[in-house]
This record gives sequence, C-alpha cells and structure tokens, in this order.
Amino acid sequence: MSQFSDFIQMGGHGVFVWSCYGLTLLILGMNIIRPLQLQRRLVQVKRRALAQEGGADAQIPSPLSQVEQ
Amino acid sequence: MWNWFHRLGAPKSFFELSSKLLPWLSVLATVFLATGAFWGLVIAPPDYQQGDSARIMYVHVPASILAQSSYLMMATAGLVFLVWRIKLADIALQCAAPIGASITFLALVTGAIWGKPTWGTWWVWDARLTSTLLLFFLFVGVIALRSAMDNRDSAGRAAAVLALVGVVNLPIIKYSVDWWFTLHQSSSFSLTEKPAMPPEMWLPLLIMVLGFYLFFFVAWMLRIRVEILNREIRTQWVRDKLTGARD
Repeated sequence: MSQFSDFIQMGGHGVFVWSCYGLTLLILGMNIIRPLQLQRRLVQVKRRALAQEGGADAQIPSPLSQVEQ
Repeated sequence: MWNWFHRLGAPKSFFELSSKLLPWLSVLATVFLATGAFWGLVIAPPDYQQGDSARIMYVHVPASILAQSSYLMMATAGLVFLVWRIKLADIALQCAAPIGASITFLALVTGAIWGKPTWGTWWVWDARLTSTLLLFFLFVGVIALRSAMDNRDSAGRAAAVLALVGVVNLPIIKYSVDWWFTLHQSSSFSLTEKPAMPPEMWLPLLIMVLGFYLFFFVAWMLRIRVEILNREIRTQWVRDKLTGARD
C-alpha cells in the first residue's frame, strides 16, 4: 500500500482529491436545492388549483381565512 | 382524541417548529462544512504515507458515518410508525431515504476515488465495501417499495418493515473490518477511544462530521416540509398558508 502510494505521490493526487470534493458539493447542494424546487412547484400548482376549484369561494374569500392569517 | 391530535396536529407543529430552526441550522451547517473543508484541504498536513490523497478522508469518512446514521434514523422512524402509527414518522422515513441513498453513493464513490491512488484499485469485493453497497441498495429498495405501492398506508408499513430488516446490515458494516480480512482499514475514529491520528487531522474531521450531520437535518427538514404540505393540502392551515403569506 505504502509502496504504491509512494510511487505516485509525486503528482496526480489533485485529480482524486478535487473530484471527491466537487462531487460532495454537488450531492449536498442537490439535496438542498431539490426540495426547495419541489416546494415551489407544489405551492404553484396547488395555488392555481385552489383558485380554480374555489370559483365563487376564491373571488369572495371566506371571512375565516382572513381572520386566521 | 389524543390519537387524532397525533395524526393531524404533529405535521403542523413540525412545520412551524422547522420554520424557526431551519435558518439557524442552515447557517451552522454552512459554517461547519466551509471551515472543515478549508481546514482539511489547506491547513491539515498531508499523510506521511498517502500524501495529499489522504485529504479525501475529510469527505469520505463523514459521508460514510452519515450514511449509516441516516439509515438508523430512517429505520427508527419506521419503527415509530409501525408501533405508534404516527404520520410524521412515515413522512420522515420517506424523506430520509433519498438523502441517505445519495450520501451512501457519495461514500462509495469517494471511497473508490481514494482507493485508486491508495490501493491501486477503484473497487474490491471486500466485506466493508460490499456491505456499504448493500446499504445503498437498501435505501434504493425503500424508495422503490414506497413508490411501487398505491396505498399510502400499506406502502408506508412495507417500507418501514424493509428499513427495519435492513438494520442487520449496520453491525456488519461496522465490524466487517474486524471480522474479515479486508483491504479497508479499521475505523480511524471512534466515540470511546482516543483517535489514532494527530489533532491537526482529527479536528477538521470532527468538524466535517458535525457539518455533515447538520446538513442532513437541514435537507431532511426541507423534504419533510414539502411532503407535509403535499399530504395536508386539504387542511385549513395549509390552505391558509397557500392563500396567505408565502412560506
């Protein structure tokens, strides 16, 4: 093991190290961005659905929902 | 009444609690990860045997630790769901799985990249690596099982059972380096013993491990919040959120 690493110690390690850190950044970042994207999409879709489904309701907001803000 | 409160009330209170916690946790996670990465890449000394490739340790070891912990947390959520039928636990299990899978993937790939300059090979079928690959498949299995079944309740129960059965794999991963002859070194880090490496190496490692945990809780909360909104969409409090202030 040490012989092998001694053998290539002179160079080339940067590729290994940086690809690991890059992948880490990518995977951690995706785990944060993805749920934020999903939430934004969900909120958009449901808002639209609420506005359509509500019909009369949507145009005349119920007093309850105003009070509870 | 208590049961009803549990089923309907808990997701809402989690949502509100997480709204308060998330900013703090996010800042902490960023600070820890940035500090740890800089320390590991720039300040920490190269290993006397492995040279600079040892810096991979500062992402590989935290990823591996988190991969196993997140599985344990997912399985615990499964147990809570099976025993107490708490809806939030089912959501927690469902949301932990994709994060756990991606972190296990990260542990496997960084391990492979570290293995190349250190062992001369990307992959060997040794006990530690194989059991970690199995961990990845367990996460994927939970995701697949969850999405394959239409009925949410039975899907949740099936996923919880699978998650619990898979817990057997965790001690195998942990002790694989002691039980079998493996290429993988034994753990360099433990809660009970003094670390075998100098403080200028284990300190940044510790910071990275904490940063990874903080990251996990942030990512987990974010996903749980989306799923809560999704499931509780018909309730008044979610409707109020959607029609009122954006959150």
